[in-house]
Order: sequence, then structure tokens, then C-alpha cells
Amino acid sequence: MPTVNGPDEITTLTGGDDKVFFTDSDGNVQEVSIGATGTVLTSTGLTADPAFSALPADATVGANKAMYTNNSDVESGLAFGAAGTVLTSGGTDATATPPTWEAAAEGGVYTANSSAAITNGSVAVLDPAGTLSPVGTASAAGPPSTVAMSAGVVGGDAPSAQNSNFWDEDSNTLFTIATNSNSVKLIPSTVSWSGATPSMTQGASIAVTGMTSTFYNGAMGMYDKLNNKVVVAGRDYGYGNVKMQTGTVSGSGSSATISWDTVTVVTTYAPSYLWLTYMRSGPAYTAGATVGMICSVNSSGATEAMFFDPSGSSPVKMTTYYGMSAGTVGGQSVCDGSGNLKYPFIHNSFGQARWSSFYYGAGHMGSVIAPGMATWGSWIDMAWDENNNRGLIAVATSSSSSGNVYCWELTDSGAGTGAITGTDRNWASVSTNYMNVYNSGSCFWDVFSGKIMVWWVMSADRHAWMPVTLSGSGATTGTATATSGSDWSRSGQPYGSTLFHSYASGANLNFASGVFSGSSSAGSKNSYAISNAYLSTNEDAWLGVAKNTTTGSGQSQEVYVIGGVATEGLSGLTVGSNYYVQSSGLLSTVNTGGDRLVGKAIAADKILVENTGTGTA
Amino acid sequence: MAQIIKQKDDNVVAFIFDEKDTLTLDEDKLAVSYTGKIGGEIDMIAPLVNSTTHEIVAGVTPPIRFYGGGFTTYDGSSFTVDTTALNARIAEDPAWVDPPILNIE
Repeated sequence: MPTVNGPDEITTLTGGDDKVFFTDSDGNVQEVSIGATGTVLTSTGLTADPAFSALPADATVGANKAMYTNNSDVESGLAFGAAGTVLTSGGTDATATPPTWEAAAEGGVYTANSSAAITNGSVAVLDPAGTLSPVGTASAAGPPSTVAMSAGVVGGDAPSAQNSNFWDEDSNTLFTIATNSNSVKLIPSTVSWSGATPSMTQGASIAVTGMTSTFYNGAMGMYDKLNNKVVVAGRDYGYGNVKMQTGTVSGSGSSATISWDTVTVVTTYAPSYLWLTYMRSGPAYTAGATVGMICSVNSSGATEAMFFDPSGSSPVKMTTYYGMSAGTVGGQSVCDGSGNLKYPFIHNSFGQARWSSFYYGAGHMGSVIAPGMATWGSWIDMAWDENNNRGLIAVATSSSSSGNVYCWELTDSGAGTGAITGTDRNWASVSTNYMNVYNSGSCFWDVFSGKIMVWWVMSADRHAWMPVTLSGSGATTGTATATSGSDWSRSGQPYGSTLFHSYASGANLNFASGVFSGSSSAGSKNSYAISNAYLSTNEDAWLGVAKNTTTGSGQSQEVYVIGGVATEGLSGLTVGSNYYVQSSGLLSTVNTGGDRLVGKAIAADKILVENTGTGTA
Repeated sequence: MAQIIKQKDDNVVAFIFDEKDTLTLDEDKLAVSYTGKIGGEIDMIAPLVNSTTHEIVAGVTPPIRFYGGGFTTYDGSSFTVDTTALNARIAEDPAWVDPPILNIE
């Protein structure tokens, strides 16, 4: 390496191999060896020799951070925030106000004033006034909707004079029991509702193959949901016995067909009255005896209760219990919450309304209903409130066209004990509620409204209904509502018109009720109708799930709407399950067919609201 | 002609069938196949009736009407209806109708 004394002296410049030159702080030319591949000449300061060094590594801000630059293009790292938080800008100058992690804004929350108390975690409804209400059910204004008449019964089949119809909830078919020349038939129908108006499409009669000599009003039917079978029992007046036949339904509604099992003789006498009940709960259910049959007035004058297992090719009788002497008039038997088969009846000899309770595996209990006034010509029926585990017995006590109706609340005090307490209420003691007992009626549990409905036939071709609430301290009656006259024509037959029911669930409906014009002769033509007592519900207008609890009107009510994640008031949810609005306003995985989807549970205490209003189930 | 099922101990008649019907009375039930059925198809069973308590009597001239439910007995040559019991039963059942005329030749 030559020594060079200033730029003027440079004429030639030689150096070693693979060098680069630079001048130092004294102006002297220096050299530095070329570095390794990929290295770059890097200053080490004004007074130090430059050197080849590796390129600096990529910029880094540390682990688990989001990177941003400030207003000088300097990179910085921002540690990730807590789960669920979102990166939020502090403005356009990140030097002055760096971004931060903040809780996610609650999208899908609507706020309005409440019009009534709403509990968090339950569904809130948008009122026409823009306020928020809880889900509720109320009687529709005016008469119980339009009565949809069906023009006659196919082929002269006469509906049975006892409870004549039942609902197959699996095939959505209303079956009407009828007789024609003493042969038992089932008439399948499609029932549908549009708003408050029911409609019914009747199908061709289905012969119950094993019942050809049955009393004109002596057949009963039920649907066994556990075994997916229809069950029919008939009082055979040719042989003086009771036959039972089960069958499996195919198809739906008016086009349903039935494949019948072998008909079985189940008694050696023909009782005065026959009732079938689906034993849906309690010990009887567990034992497999899903069919309860009451024979009122057997060959010894007593009530006889039998339990059957219909799961095989023919029904098998599991056990029989004998109750009190039965009198002459019976009402629909029911299964209470403990598996007891309860049966109300009027004992003509004693002029009393009575009840029996048959407990599978234990026997019979029963009592007189105080004050128990009833005579022949009275009408009696019973229904069971499945929510409150209480029953209602309704009795019409006069044979005049201006009769009164009494009802008793019954409390089930446990399996096998059969103890019943109750309070009588004469809610039809005013003229507007007079009941023509010869025209009969029925009462039944309406799961949709949580009330027992009592139907009865009045004079002047009208019928009426009354919602009854059972609270444990006596029946509380609502307002009786009647149709206008000439909606249907009463029968002039000795046993008058009969009105029986079948409950059906579905969108925006409560129940269907069949009205049958009775007859004293088999095979005569009878018209019948299906009508409903429409209870309006605001369920369709539900908006979302309440975030906070309000205690009355005029308070700020926040509601999670679509996209919101409801959590307040919720617990024990099943992740991944769909949740639906119940008639109570609460959320449940239960969907009875008409319940509205709210959304899917994403945690045990969280639901992602996916639906609102009239969205499909 | 008819064939009947009656109780052995008191001659109470449980059923009257056409002789062309096929009856099978065994230890746990009576099985009936009505006239014209092909093969062994069973039309009706009666678990309450069995060969221990009941018997089949064939070649019987049927009555005009058969009052079942324990009101009719057969002594081997003729039918007897307990009219006292029958009338009492009718009196307590406002829905009572007489059984049909038997269609058995």
C-alpha cells in the first residue's frame, strides 16, 4: 500500500486484493477488506474505519404485539389486549395518542322505554307505541274467532257422543271417531290456521277393522306418543264387551292412513262409558302402561280402570283397579303429574259429583267433591294443568237451558296419595254465562296460554269459552266470551249437541275444538265444525333478549337484537343448541313447532341473537 | 249354525260366532279368524278367555239377539237371558241400545 500525501500526489493507486478505499479523518486514503457475501459497508462513526457487516435483522417489536408506526414512521409494538378487546385508534397522530385495546362495542343493542316489567334474559317485545313489553298472551277481542264449518261428515259417519277427536302430534292429524252402521271409523283431517281463523280439510274415513258392532257413541280414541300409535276402544254391543285396537299412522292430515294391529277383547262386559287417557308421565309411564282406560259402570256397577301396554302387535293389559260405584255420567279422565289416572263422574243415586284416582301399582283413591251437587242431566269434565300440576273439574248442575257451572281446583299431592283439595267456584251463575248442559261442553289444558279452557254450548246456537287459571287457592276465571248466534246449529236429538276438543300446537294458534252435532241413532249424518278460541299473543313481535331488568313502565330497557350477544340473566345453556321463545317469554331449546328461534348458545351464559320477530322456527 | 264360547262353571256365554269362523281356544287366549280369511290371519284375540275357564260348543242354533256381558247362558240345548239383570242394566244406562239381530243362518 503506497503512502499518499494528499490528493495532489495521487497519480496511481494500488492496493491489495479485494479492498475498498476510504479516507480517514486526516485525509489519508485507507483501505478495508471487502466483507463476506451479503455484507454491506457500514459506518462506525466519523473517526472510525468503516467495516463490512451483515444487514440488520427485520424490524421487531417483541412477541404478542401489534405493530404500528408513529408520525415519524417509527415502528412500535402494542401488546395484545384482553380477549375480546379490539384495537382502537387514538386519532391521526399516533405519537400524541397511540392506539389502544378496548372492549368491543355492544353492537345489536336497542334501547327504549319499558311499558311493563321485563326480566333480563327473557324476551322483550316491541309494542306498537315503540315501548318494550314482556311476552304475554291475551284473549283476542271479540268472540272466539271465526267458526270454520265443515259441511257434514263423510258418508254419514256419526261422530261419537263422547270425546270424539284426538290429535296425533307426530303426523299433525286430527282424528275424529265416528260410527256408521255400528262400524267404528276414524276421520282424518288436516287442520291449519291463518291468523285467527282455522280451516279443516277432511279426508276419507278409515275403518277400524276390528270394530263392527259398536254402540253408536261407544268408541273412544287417543294418541300414544311414546309408541307412535293411535289407540281406539269401543263398547261392543253385539258381544257385550270392550274391544281395543291399535294402529300405526302413515302420511299426514287428511291423507293419513293407518295400519291396524290385531283387535283385542279387553273386558267381558260393555260399560256405560268409556274413556282413554295417555299416561304421559309418572310411574305408569315408566312401567310402559301408556294407555289408561276407564270403564264407568261395569257389570258390578263400579268404575274399573285398566292400564295397557300397546307397544306390541296387540295391546296387553297390565293391571286393573276397581273404584267406587260409578253413577251414570262420566267426564274425560286425565293423567296427573304423578301418573295417577283421575276420573270425574256424577253419581246419580247420591246426587253428587265425585272423582276417582287410580294409581298404577297402588290402587284406587277417591272422594266426593264438596259440595258435590249434581244430578242426572248434569255435565262434568276434567282437565289437568301441566304447568302447575293442578286439575280442574267443571260441572254443570242444571238440566235447564240456563244452568250454572261450578268448577273445582284439584291439587295433586304426590304419587299414590291421590289427595285432592279444591275450592268450588260458580263462575257461570250470571245469566251471561248460563250453560245449557244438555248441549254439553268440555274443558282442557291449553299449554299455549297456560290456562284451562272451558267450552260450553249455549242457547241460541252459540257457544262460549272461559279461561281458568289454577293458582293453588282456587280457580280464577277470566272473562267468558261467546260467539254470535247462528254460527252453528244445535241438534234436536235427545242428547243434544256435544262439543269436544283436541289441542293442537302450531304457529300463532292455541287450540282446535271440534263441535259435533250429536245424534241418538247410529249412522245419521251430522255436521260438525272446527273452531278455535284464538288467544292473541305478542310473541310474533318479539324484538330481542332483555339485557337489564326493569320493574315497571317508563324505565330504560336495553335489548339485544340481531348480532347481539345476550348474557345477563342466562345460565346453564348448551353450547351449540338453538334456543326458542317460550310462551312464558323465557328461552329454551324446546320448540313445540311454533316457537320462534332466538339464536344459538355460544357459551353457557351467552346466546348469539340470530333472529327476531316473525322469523321461522 | 253357530258356535259359542261359554264359561265352563256357569254356562255364561261370552261369544257367538258363525260356524264358518275359525276359533282357536288355548291356555292363554281365544283367537278368531273370520270367514273367508286366507291363511292364519287372526282377526281378534281375547286374552280374558282361555281353555281353562271356557269351552267351545259347536252346532248351536243361535238366538235372534245375543245379550253379551254376562246376561245370557246356554245349558247345552237352549239360551236363557237373565232379564232381571238385563233390565236393571238397561235402566241405569240411558244410552242403552239393544244388540243387533244376529246374522247367522
